[in-house]
Amino acid sequence: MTLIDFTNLLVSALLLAGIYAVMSVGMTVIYGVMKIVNLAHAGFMMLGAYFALELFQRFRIDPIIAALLAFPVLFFLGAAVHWVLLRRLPRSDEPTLPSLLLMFGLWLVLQNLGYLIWGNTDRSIFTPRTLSVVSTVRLAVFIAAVGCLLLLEVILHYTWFGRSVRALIQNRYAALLTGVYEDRTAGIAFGLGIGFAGLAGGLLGSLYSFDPDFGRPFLIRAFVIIVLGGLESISGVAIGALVLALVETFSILFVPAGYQLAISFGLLALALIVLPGGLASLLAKVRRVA
Amino acid sequence: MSATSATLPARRMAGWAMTALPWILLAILAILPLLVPSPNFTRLLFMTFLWTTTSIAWNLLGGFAGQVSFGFAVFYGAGAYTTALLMNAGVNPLFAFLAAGLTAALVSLIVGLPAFRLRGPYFAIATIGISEAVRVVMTNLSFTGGASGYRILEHRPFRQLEHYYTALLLAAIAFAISWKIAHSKFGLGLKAIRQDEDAAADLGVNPYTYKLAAHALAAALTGMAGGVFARYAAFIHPGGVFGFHTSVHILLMPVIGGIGTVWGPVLGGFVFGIVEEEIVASFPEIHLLLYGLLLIVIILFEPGGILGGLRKLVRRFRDHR
Amino acid sequence: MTTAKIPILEVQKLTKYFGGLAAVKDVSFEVRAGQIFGFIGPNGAGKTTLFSMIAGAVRPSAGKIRSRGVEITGVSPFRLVKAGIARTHQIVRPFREMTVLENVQVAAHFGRKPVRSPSAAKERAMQVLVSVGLDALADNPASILSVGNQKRLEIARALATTPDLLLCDEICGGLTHSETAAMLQLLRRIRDGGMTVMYVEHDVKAITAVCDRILVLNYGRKLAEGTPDHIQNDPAVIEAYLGTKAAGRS
Repeated sequence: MTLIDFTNLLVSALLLAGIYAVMSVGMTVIYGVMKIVNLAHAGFMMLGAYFALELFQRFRIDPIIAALLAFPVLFFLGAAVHWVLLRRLPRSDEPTLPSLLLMFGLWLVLQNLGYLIWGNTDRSIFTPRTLSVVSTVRLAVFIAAVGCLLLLEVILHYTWFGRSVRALIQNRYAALLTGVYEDRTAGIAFGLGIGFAGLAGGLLGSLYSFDPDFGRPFLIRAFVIIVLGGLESISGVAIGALVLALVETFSILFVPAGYQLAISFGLLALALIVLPGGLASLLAKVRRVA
Repeated sequence: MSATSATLPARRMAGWAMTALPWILLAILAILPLLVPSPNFTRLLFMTFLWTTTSIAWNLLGGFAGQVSFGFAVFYGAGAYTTALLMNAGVNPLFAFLAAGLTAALVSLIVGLPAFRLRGPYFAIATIGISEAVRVVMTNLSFTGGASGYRILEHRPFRQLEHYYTALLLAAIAFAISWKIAHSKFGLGLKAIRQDEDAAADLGVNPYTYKLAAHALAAALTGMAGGVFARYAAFIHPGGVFGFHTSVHILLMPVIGGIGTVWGPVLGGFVFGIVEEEIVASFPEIHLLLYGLLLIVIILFEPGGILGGLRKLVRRFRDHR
Repeated sequence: MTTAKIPILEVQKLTKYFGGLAAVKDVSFEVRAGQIFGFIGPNGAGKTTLFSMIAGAVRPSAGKIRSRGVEITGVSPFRLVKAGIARTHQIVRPFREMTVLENVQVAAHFGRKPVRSPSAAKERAMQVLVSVGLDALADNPASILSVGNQKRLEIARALATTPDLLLCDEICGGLTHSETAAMLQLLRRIRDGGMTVMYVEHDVKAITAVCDRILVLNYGRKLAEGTPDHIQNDPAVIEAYLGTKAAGRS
């Protein structure tokens, strides 16, 4: 492998990591605040992708802009889902059996609504950029992804809502005592998580072709990333996304393309066995020893 | 005081009826295909028994021990392929089924050993991961025909009733195991783990080995059901036995019937088996949509499933009297 | 008897850091069989951390715990039960979907002398319920018990594992005067039945009333150890914890 090949792979891994982070961060926010594993994440990603496609085909809106527009739309959809369904679940500090089954049911509904509306043929978004030599789509997608992640960081650190979210993640009971309004915070957090799912779906839609089952392989990847990141840590997501993107990109050199998902799962199993607290716990351990 | 003593004979009678019910049911099902000699009807019941077996199996882990798995298709598929490969190698079907159960139990350890060491959602996440990964591998594996599937060549003549009684026996065994566990030390330990894992450990229950054992047992039963199915179908492919919808069906049945009970998964299996095989199979486009809606409705409005709803009705009726 | 010489619990230089902060630092003590041994200390003195380390819920950063000479540092709770050490929880944790009897039945099944058959386990569970005075409520769901009775259920479950050493975490918290008195009476009965009790409580009066020996913690360190009389007259303890009023009273 020449240095140029290596650099190319490294760059594409980085670009991939950006979008992986966007895809997983929503799941982390939702898990952190509500202790719900959002199994329906894939369904919302699929909606984001079709949303971008429809805007592009009907109104000639640039797919990257369309993906960014998917964010607010799915935000409100997510908040509505929280209001109608999730609010009724009993609260818990651990993911409960009903919450898992409910989110799973929601995923089935979304996915199959997708089949009803859009059929099961592969769709893709083609723009002049798609075929350009230097992959400007990837770069644009990356910039949009990183921009949104930075925005989230700002929101979480400098707003009342962000402080409520971080308080709920760290210690729900103490947060409630200090007057965090859990229902509203959870509703916004869920909306935010779903918004990010939609954004990720829209962005991925301009890179890959998709069908209503589009989000499923990405769901597994999102799991790997948040497990690597330690489930509740937003900076952990960034690291997890980078690790997965690097492993996937460079594994192309050794493993046939069909087995990529198996690699993701292998990484998941490895993370479960050797890094139960995620990569962050490893870093913390190294720091303590040093 | 007098009220309780008045209901005592009634309660004893109900208890007796509950003990006799499985035997009566078994007897009816054993003679039913002889009374109604229709291949379609026999096939419907055959499939229902297999579904019920997997439903009971899922409930051992999901209902009793409270560990949700979205990946039971892995065991069903592993059992199906094990049986298919062994039968084509000339192994007696009965041994092939047993091997199918054993293989599935071993596969269950691959997920369980790492995932059960951790608390939280890791197990549920890992089950989705492995079922996808396994399906991808099986789709690409050449010696089982990859995505295009694998055929079983059986030289003996096809006798539907033989398959029927095999499935009925398997379902009966699954029920007996479930019933026995519900009334045993093992079952009480699993229920304790479901309700509060730490408190259970503080009383001497080893949550790790108990969850592993329940998982392996459930996997073995599911694998054997997959094996019996494979022999009947004579053709299997990854998109079917390892398919996502297979996992969905298996977890849906106990939820419909009543999670964590002995009879709920049986009820769910029968209702689902008949609905799936007779009605919904005609609308393949929307059947998963319907199941998703059903799941949401049950979790939000009647977490006890059909059995829980029935019990509520009976109680209301009794109170009104 | 030679075995009486070996302490039922021996704690050596036990230390726990949370981040850079020492919640418990170099605490050593011994508990002799047949005693009620208590911890006291102001809020944040490290009582709960020390208790949790002994109960196997928190892994120590350093130090050793031995029971009858066998090391049990960092051993998981279900193995401690098999070694004859059982605990209760400060915040009660009954299995809410089970009856009171079934709750205790779990302990009888899985305790140090495990019982296989459900009927035998039920029988043993019933005996324990009688001994703590919960037998009349045996068939009720555990979730409807009063706080006092839930604390009794905690003790009943621990007892049904047939331990040598019972670790009690604030079993009088939230109880009325008469309930507390009855609970302390129960502890004495348990000790007089030959069991050793280690007891953590916020309420100094309860501890001094019932304990044979007391360990005082302050800022995660051992401040004093001795009989209730000795502790109450120790100037360092009075200074740090009991205050001048308590000193005047004794």
